[in-house]
Amino acid sequence: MNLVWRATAALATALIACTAIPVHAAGQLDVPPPVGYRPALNTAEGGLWAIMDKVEDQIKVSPALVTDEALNTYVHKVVCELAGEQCSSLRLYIVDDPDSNAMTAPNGMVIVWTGLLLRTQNEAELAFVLGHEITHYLKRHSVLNFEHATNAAGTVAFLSTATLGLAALPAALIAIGGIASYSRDQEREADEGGFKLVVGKGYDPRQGATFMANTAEEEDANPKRRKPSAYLSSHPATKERLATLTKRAGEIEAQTRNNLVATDEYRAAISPHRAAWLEEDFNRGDYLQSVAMVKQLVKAEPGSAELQYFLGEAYRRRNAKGDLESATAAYQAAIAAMDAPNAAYRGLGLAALKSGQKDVARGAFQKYLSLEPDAKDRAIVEYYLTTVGGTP
Amino acid sequence: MRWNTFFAAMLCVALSACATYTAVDPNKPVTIGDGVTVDAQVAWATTSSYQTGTVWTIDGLRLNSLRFLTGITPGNPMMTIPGLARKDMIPYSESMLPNDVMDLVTGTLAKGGFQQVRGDNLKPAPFGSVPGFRFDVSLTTEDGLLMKGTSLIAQRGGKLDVILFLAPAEYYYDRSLPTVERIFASVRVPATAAAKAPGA
Repeated sequence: MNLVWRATAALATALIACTAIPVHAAGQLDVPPPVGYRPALNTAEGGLWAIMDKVEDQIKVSPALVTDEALNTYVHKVVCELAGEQCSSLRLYIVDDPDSNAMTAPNGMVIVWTGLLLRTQNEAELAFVLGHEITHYLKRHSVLNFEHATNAAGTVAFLSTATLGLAALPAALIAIGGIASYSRDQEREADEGGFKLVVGKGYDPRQGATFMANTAEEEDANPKRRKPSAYLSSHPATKERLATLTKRAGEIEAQTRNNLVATDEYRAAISPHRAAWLEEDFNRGDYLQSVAMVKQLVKAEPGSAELQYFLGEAYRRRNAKGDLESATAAYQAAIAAMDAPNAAYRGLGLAALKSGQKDVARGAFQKYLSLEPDAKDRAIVEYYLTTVGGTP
Repeated sequence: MRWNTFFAAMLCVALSACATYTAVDPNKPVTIGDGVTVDAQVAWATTSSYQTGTVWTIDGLRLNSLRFLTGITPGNPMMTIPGLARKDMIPYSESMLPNDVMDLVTGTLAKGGFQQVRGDNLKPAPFGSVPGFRFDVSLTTEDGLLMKGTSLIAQRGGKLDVILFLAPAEYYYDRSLPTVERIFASVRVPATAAAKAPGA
């Protein structure tokens, strides 16, 4: 039993045996935490913060933590624009995980998954998600939930969820997930609060609904999926959220001329990482969703050779009926665009090889090797070439 | 969050803790399954199940594992993972090229709870007397440990054979790699097995 577990067990025991411990120090959970707020350690809320601090310590040293300064600076800027004076209370952590998710913890941690940054298509969409999460923090939803878990069994279960295996980042994220298991009313409140934050900063009010619609479409692409995305799992029905957000956007549009989307800034921030994030998404093997997701990205940026290449990769890996033809078309679109990835030729060769188009395969593989003479996979591509009567 | 993978990992730990191991005689050829025979080279401990195939280890599964998954038929996953239904796994297809098989292996490892799974250095390699291929993998465990791996693969008679070695990148991988290379070189398969050349 490690120290964290011992501390947790001791805390749980204390809570069971000593229900007189005040749940929170200030007694005012209906207002945002004051800037610089920190609950007294002899309160249950203080204990909750202590657990979250342990989780944060694990995240800080995790190999999955994204340390790229430019990306962190950019996302942190968006957080702070939305949070205003509360910015100094919030600490951003970007974690390398293909899930589409973001969370805040009661102690001020803001965790953003790279899978979310891959899917939000502009700064306004990202702001919508961050505004939602910041509202959870400002409304102190997780602390309220903790307060409600005041019966002994509930408290122990809550703490157990919050501290499963704190030695690991994924487990630490599960811990945050336990804390951030909100009611649907709280999610509605976060949607509305986030919406107001976003609109207040001049962002296009329609972008939240666009993100929601894309998320739902991606999930619907896989009828066999086991559960909604982490981002949607505890939220009200997607259709309800979409309808509410669309209605609110219409109301706001009539009153304001908000149009800040900041697509170029957003793409500039994520473009150095997008290819790696797409590879990680594909490596999950959920190709039905990957195809839907990349199609959305291509729809928003049809001239991107990189995205056309990855659309080809998604189709080729899914390999459903008609996918080889779709993959071939996507690889060809990538090659036709400027700055095509050299790997698009390899992809085209693979799709053509499987389709029995030997001439196309031969030409594509030869082009790939001429562009990438030191490719790590040169030997296998040369082998493919021999099967279609070609030489490097 | 991925509760399924968490519980799968917990179950794996529980299963590995309870599994029955037997010693592998380093001085005798070992027939694994589907006609695949290798020379163990050193003393391994082995356990097997219908879910995860035959697994060898020297120091324990978290420190080194040599996994033999042989005779995988089209439509079936490479292995099963506790907590994951078959419909959630990636099935093998006879039409797969080596690149596709690499995606199958890395995708299966990712579904098993490993993170940042990447395949690399795909190249042709003999699988005994038949043409095969191999590639390296890198990944991170749920608790943040960086692992490396290498695999030897064949598509014979419409079926897939995978031999996959995984170990922590620090110390254990490099220590056992020469042994694993000798095991790969010792692979023998029946001469009658119809092999599919990569890409053919």
